[in-house]
Amino acid sequence: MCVVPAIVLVFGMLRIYSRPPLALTESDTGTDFLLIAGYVTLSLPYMYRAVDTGLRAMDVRTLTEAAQSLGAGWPTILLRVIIPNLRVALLSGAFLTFTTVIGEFTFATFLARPAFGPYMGLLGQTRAYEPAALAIISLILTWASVGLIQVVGRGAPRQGQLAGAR
Amino acid sequence: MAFLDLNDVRKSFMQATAVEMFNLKVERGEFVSFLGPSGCGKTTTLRMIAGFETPTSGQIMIDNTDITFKPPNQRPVGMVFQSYALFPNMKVADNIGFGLKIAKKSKDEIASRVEEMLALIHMREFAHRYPYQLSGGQQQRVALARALAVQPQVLLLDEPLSALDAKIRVQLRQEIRAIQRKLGITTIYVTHDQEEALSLSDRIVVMSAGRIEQIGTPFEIYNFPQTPFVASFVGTLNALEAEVRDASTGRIAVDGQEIMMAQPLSGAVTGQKITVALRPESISLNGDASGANHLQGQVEAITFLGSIVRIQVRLERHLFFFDSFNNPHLSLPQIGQMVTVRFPHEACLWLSAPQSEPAGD
Repeated sequence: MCVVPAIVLVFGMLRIYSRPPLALTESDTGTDFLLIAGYVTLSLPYMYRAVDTGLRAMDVRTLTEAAQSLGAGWPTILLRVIIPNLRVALLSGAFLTFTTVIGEFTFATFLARPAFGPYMGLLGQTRAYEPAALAIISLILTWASVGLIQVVGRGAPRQGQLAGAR
Repeated sequence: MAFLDLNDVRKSFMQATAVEMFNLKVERGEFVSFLGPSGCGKTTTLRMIAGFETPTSGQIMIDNTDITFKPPNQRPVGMVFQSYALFPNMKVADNIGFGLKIAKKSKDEIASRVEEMLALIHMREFAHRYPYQLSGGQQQRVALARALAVQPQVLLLDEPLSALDAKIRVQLRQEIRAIQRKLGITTIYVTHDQEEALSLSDRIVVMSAGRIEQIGTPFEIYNFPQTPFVASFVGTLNALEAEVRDASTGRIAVDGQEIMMAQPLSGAVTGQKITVALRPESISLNGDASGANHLQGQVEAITFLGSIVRIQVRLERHLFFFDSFNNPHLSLPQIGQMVTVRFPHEACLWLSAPQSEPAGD
């Protein structure tokens, strides 16, 4: 899944950013930033895959040319043609990211951020029944996001063409 | 001054030259087809007019304005693609109105123009459908309406019918021509289908290997091909090897049987091997015998093609075919039977370069 394990990444981060010139771990904001950077690294492959699939499903080149010949400039093409057609891909990438990040433990613990993962760990060590409830909640959350992809995806126009070229 | 003017246009990609010395003047309202096999540079030329490719050298003018280096979104051209390229996220009406929206037209103006275009393509009731809910032919009509909605000065069509099935193709090409006539819009049509080019165009530009082979009306292209390539690419024909018997009178021999060409073979010498072309539709089994050419051979195959019957005849070495219109009272020869076919002198075309095999499809 991940070539560099999260633990290696987070130790690297701590080594570099806990001392000058970039002592980010000194402040909460700085640490939040490190956490975000870590999560971006973790979820990038998922997001990339999703967007890549979306781009392949539509004929970006021809659609761009069609829009251009109708007078559209680059910002319009991006906003009105490409991104609307990537909606499903972007959303599914986002939900995949959400589901990976919500259960993430390593980064959050070592950076000492109050995230969902460490919270579950903490409850598991200190309480008897609550962890079970929390596990069920997290399961529901994950399923809910998967369900949401389905709901959102259904409203969008189908990709590809019924008859014809390519 | 011509309306659309391509002047010495050249395009090369790295080492390879895609289009060489392209000169064309198109009058306002004219329908011109670029015809050629794939890779002959016809689409590249069209894309240069659209602005998706920049010529390596040369100049492109529309209505006396140099557009050679203008970006595509600032050119007064509309484009229709082979793959329709409708925006899948927009309904038919929004697709047609896209260009007008970009041009910042008022809502009412857009609505009335879209309505007008939908009427033009007879698709009023489809305004609120998404492209995926339409058939290929309908999608291409919407694409045509979308390109025309912004009132371009030149309409470019890049093999618009290639992705459609045969029946729709014929129907839609008539519709395209009717709309083009109605609006009087200057049109460039790229195709590899000679039938499309012949039936639609005012003029045809036949291209091969990046060069223009011939520019002319469909009638000229078909009946008076100027190069061997045009003769073999447009229409079906028989290419026969012949020996010159008398160059000054145009007397030649095919497998020992003498025939006459309509014109003397200037530049040829007696005994030289040349290639002549014979159109299958100009040969008949029982044509007028007086003064016409005739060849004797053995019937080798008879193919029933519906409206015509194609008959293959073997001479000593050569094989050629000819077409006969089908009718219920047609008496066909038997396979293996010896027949004499006739054709007028003008039916023989001299292809200067020898052709290795009969071309056509």
